[in-house]
Amino acid sequence: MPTLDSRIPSGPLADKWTKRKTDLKLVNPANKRKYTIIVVGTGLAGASAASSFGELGYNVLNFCFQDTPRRAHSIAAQGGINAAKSYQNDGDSVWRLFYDTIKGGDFRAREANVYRLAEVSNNIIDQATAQGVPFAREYGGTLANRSFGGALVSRTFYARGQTGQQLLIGAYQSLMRQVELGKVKMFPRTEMLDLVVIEGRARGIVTRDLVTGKVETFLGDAVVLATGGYGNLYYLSTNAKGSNVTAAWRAHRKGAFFANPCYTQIHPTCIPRAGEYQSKLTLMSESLRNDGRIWVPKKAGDGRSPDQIPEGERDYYLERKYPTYGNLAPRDIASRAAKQACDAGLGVGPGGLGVYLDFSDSIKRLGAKAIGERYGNLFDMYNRITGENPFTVPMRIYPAVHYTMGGLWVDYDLMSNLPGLFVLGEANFSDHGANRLGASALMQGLADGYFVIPYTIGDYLARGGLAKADGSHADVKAAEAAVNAREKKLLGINGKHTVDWFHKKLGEIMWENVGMARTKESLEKAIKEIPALRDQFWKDVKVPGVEGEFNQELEKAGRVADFLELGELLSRDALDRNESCGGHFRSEFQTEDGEAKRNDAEYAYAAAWEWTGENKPWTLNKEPLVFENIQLQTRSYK
Amino acid sequence: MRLTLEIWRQKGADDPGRFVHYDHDDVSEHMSFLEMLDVLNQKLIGKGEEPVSFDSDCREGICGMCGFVVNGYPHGPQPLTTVCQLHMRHFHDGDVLRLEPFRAKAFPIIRDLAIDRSALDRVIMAGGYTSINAGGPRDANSILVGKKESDLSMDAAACIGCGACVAACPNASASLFTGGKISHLGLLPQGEPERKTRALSMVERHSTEGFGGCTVIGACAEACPKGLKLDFIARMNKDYLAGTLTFREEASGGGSG
Amino acid sequence: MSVATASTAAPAKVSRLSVFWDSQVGKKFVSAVTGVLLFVFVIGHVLGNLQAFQGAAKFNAYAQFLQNTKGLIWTTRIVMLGALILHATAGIQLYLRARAARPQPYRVPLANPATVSSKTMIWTGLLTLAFIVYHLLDLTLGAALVHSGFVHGDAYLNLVNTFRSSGKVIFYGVSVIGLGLHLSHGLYSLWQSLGFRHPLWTPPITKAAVLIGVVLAIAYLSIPAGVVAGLIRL
Ligand SMILES: Cc1cc2nc3c(=O)[nH]c(=O)nc-3n(C[C@H](O)[C@H](O)[C@H](O)COP(=O)(O)OP(=O)(O)OC[C@H]3O[C@@H](n4cnc5c(N)ncnc54)[C@H](O)[C@@H]3O)c2cc1C
Ligand code: HEM
Ligand code: HEM
Ligand code: SF4
Ligand code: F3S
Ligand code: FES
Repeated sequence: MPTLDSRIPSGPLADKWTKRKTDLKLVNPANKRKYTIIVVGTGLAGASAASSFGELGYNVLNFCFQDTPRRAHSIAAQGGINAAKSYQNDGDSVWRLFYDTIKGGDFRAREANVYRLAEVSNNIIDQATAQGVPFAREYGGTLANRSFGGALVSRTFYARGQTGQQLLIGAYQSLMRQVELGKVKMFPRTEMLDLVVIEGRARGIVTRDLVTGKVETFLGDAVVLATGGYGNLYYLSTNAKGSNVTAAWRAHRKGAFFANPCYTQIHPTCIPRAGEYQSKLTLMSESLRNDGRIWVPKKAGDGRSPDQIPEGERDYYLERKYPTYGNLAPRDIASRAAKQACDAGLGVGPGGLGVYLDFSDSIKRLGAKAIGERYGNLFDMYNRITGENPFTVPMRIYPAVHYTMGGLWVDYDLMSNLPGLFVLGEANFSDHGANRLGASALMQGLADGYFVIPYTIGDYLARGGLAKADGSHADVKAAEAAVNAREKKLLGINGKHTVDWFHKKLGEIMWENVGMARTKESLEKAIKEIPALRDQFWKDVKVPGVEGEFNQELEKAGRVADFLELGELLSRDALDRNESCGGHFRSEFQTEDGEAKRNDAEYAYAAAWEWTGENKPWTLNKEPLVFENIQLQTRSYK
Repeated sequence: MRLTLEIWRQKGADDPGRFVHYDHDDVSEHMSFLEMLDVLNQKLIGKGEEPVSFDSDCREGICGMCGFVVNGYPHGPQPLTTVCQLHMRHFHDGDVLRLEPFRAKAFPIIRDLAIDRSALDRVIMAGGYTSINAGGPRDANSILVGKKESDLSMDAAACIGCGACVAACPNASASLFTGGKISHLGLLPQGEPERKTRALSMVERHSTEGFGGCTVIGACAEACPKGLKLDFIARMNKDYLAGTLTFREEASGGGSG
Repeated sequence: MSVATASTAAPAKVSRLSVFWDSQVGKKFVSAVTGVLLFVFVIGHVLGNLQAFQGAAKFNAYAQFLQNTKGLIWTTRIVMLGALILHATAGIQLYLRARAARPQPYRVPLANPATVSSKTMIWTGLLTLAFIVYHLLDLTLGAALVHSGFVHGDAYLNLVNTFRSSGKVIFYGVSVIGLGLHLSHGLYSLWQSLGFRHPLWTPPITKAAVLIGVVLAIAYLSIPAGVVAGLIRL
């Protein structure tokens, strides 16, 4: 199996990024306007990158499928963003943030990337503040912090329960400034449906205008994908309805390696599903675990209402199992513990798929007003959805698919193995290893976009060798023709089942077999069932309407078709990884007390899968993970 | 429960459009409004009819992508609730619900209930930002912001850009949206240098995009799912007036630079 | 979104004043300032008119006094006429813009929680305008078409004569009620137009505006009512 070069700079960990920045080639400022960079995505990663490129003087073409860039799914992040400012004087440092993130990722991320992330984290807070992001403040006017899962220091910055929204709006505003100045050309409601590769380099994309249906090719000097995560593969997830893998998947099919697809984060605090028709699951910010206590009745099938269950008959299982971290144990651990409780018949609510998140003790201690100030909008949201008031009735929560640590493989410079294709944010695999800690995805997206890619892309461009992309090149025409043909095919099947029907089926297979606890058998089952479902899809899907118009079913169909391929790869990756780590839990590999058991000797690598063609097996490439600065150990949050 | 739906169907800008009647008989009270429409659409596709187009993405009330008018209420009758967060338990068996798109010249209809709200982006483009580049800022704690101002600024910044204020305003004015951004930035020290020019240019863009002016009717604030207040429109007026009074030619374009 | 857009802030060459007048905020500002002037007039006017209850001599003396202080009356007339023109123009233009901003009306009317007065400003305003024109013909110029038997110099007689016609009583009544409605919103909204809104002050201002609107309408109504009731008679 080939190994991959991550191009990590040599030298001590703390100096690597400085060294890389010194070694990078620079583009002459006067020449920047001669380069065109295509940025797909306007989330934290995409918007920050596109606006930064514009500020530097590049021409930027920026795409998103929503009606405006401000709606990218980063908007939904509630809890906060980490940074090693150590404003609280509680012993935080770049090193500690780095260490917590590596450990949180169950030692499956690159040291150098994570260190750089921790290093630039402080700049992000400065940048966002300068943009006018209204972070929470103390009475004295300084920034406030809260603590978050997986950390013992208080380093999370937040803007009420809308941190992602505010950070995204900050980035969006900077982006709009560049659009006004003419440096960025914005294409909303435009979906990338293929990557154009000319002579081995990524040079453009094929898109569909979602309003008119027009298929078009855009060419440039580099392509940056910041297209978010693929949690919607499971149908029900905390992602937005439109979140998809299409951009990344199309790039994968054009040669970009897909890394660690099996690392899926299941978030412990989501609102349980209410019925068949459920279209998505809603996350309740993990920050709730700061003041809420998680419990289930000790007796299976206890039908009493929660206030009737006396203290002694409740099992605060996280506090019991993990006395140090208690309710703040990392997500994967908290999720699995909830599943174990429900599997044991202790679950509450409809179908026994839920556990209590109880605020009554905090309300007694701090008063309803203080709790309301901290979580008011989250409580309102819960109340709106369930019709129950968390001030009086404990919340019911259940885990749901939330974040995908896997993604396109990138090197230290965030470039994929395809020259000229850069991947940022949740769409890449880089910084979170096997599990992402809370408040670190926002950090990563903005670090990538504001502080990494503006440097590294310049190096790629300055190295030259880029002739003007030729629109009449056969590969360009072929890509465009393939997109058109695929649309026609989808519309022409006119079968029996709707796109959603297939998507739900796929979701069920995934959740049942490739969910929180995976086994060899369940994975093999999935690997059999998914291709069968895929075949059925291509024979029996019904997509109404025509190409040349606003056609939301056609949009969905293309996305589900790609999920049907990704699902198989994800299952194969999970089957291949004979260990448990972070968001990948194989029931065969656990300790006596049910904790994940890693196998560092054999699996301390990133698995980068290579597409070899339709209906052909993927090739596995490995990037060994070398830990020079920290000791690998069993994660313990006890 | 059973519902009668009258949904506005319109193929595109050139089609005059009409209400179409649908009987919907498997609605659960736990469904969200959009899930109710999902179920309807699945049935329509099954019957070989065209599904109803409507926008949504996050479905948790934060992205601002959803939005249409239900029985005369933008986002439906529940206060402080986007239509994606509106649950069917607020309706009753046998209700007749009429769904119409947000209507405004600045919001052309794309199809059925889906509209084009990019005019709001262009209002932001006219100065809804602080003109700083990535890379240079000073330490965040070197800018002190009182908790009160910060909280008020956050109230204004909570806008999700859904356009319900425009839909609700008899003048089709986006003043609440525009005032929200002017207030969000104007309340913070970071936004102070461009406070007045920002108001001048954003208000002007607001008009050229075809929104009506505000005559203080107040329906916008009632419809706003994020609870933005009329105070923000007052602040917009104040900054605009101050901008006019203190305007100097050299300063022109500062808000958009 | 299209990338092409109109130019941004404050075009350099155009006069600031015309930009200001052209903007929605400028128009509202003008509307507010002129509205205050007009309001001051209608207050003074109603106080003067109430003297009719004190009999012909007192009232005519007051009217005579006004007629004799030419400087005062003409300054007031010019200022008021200017204010009225600006005010009405701003109001009508804002209304036309609002109409243009929604060319396709809602098929199901908006279930609007806003006050009636706020939504009918243009109509109560236009009514007031029509009233003023008619009223000038009726009681100031004494145009024969509107007011037969008008006697120049005997304001009291003319006034009583006017309200002998039930049609005029109704028209005057409706108009001053309209004005009351107009002011019950206008006296609140003008603060917003001037950029002032405060959690402490705005609620009482809102109430006071309604109160003043109602009191003013009643005060005006009392005069035709006084004539009808025979309290004001020749
Ligand atoms: C409910 C929720 C809460 C969260 N809370 C937190 C938190 O508190 N802290 C934290 O750190 N992280 C949080 N996360 C994770 C974090 O929000 C995301 O991982 C992160 O915002 C992803 O940013 P992104 O820029 O990579 O992608 P996104 O914001 O998802 O943006 C993707 C962009 O790509 C575009 N796009 C996608 N596909 C295509 C295509 N084919 N063609 C054209 N455009 C395309 C989209 O239009 C969009 O603009 C949360 C996530 C969720 C779902
Ligand atoms: C019932 C109510 C009213 C009565 C009895 C009344 C009575 C009069 C009378 C008697 C005059 C003539 C005074 C004179 O020529 O010396 C007059 C003039 C006038 N009234 Fe009224 N009025 C009433 C309401 C109003 C209202 C509501 C308005 C404004 C909106 C108004 C505006 C004027 C104006 C502009 C003049 C002309 C003043 C001038 O000579 O310049 N009146 N009114
Ligand atoms: C004596 C007569 C009048 C008085 C005292 C008066 C007073 C006021 C006041 C105080 C306001 C609120 C201004 C603001 O919020 O900034 C207002 C608004 C308004 N007025 Fe009048 N007005 C009078 C006559 C008219 C006339 C003749 C019109 C004619 C069309 C008119 C049309 C309007 C409209 C449309 C508004 C709302 C729009 C706006 O505020 O500009 N008014 N008026
Ligand atoms: S102000 Fe309120 S109603 Fe208007 S766009 Fe913003 S959130 Fe929507
Ligand atoms: S409803 Fe319209 S008139 Fe002003 S106060 Fe709101 S924008
Ligand atoms: S779909 Fe995002 S706010 Fe409704």
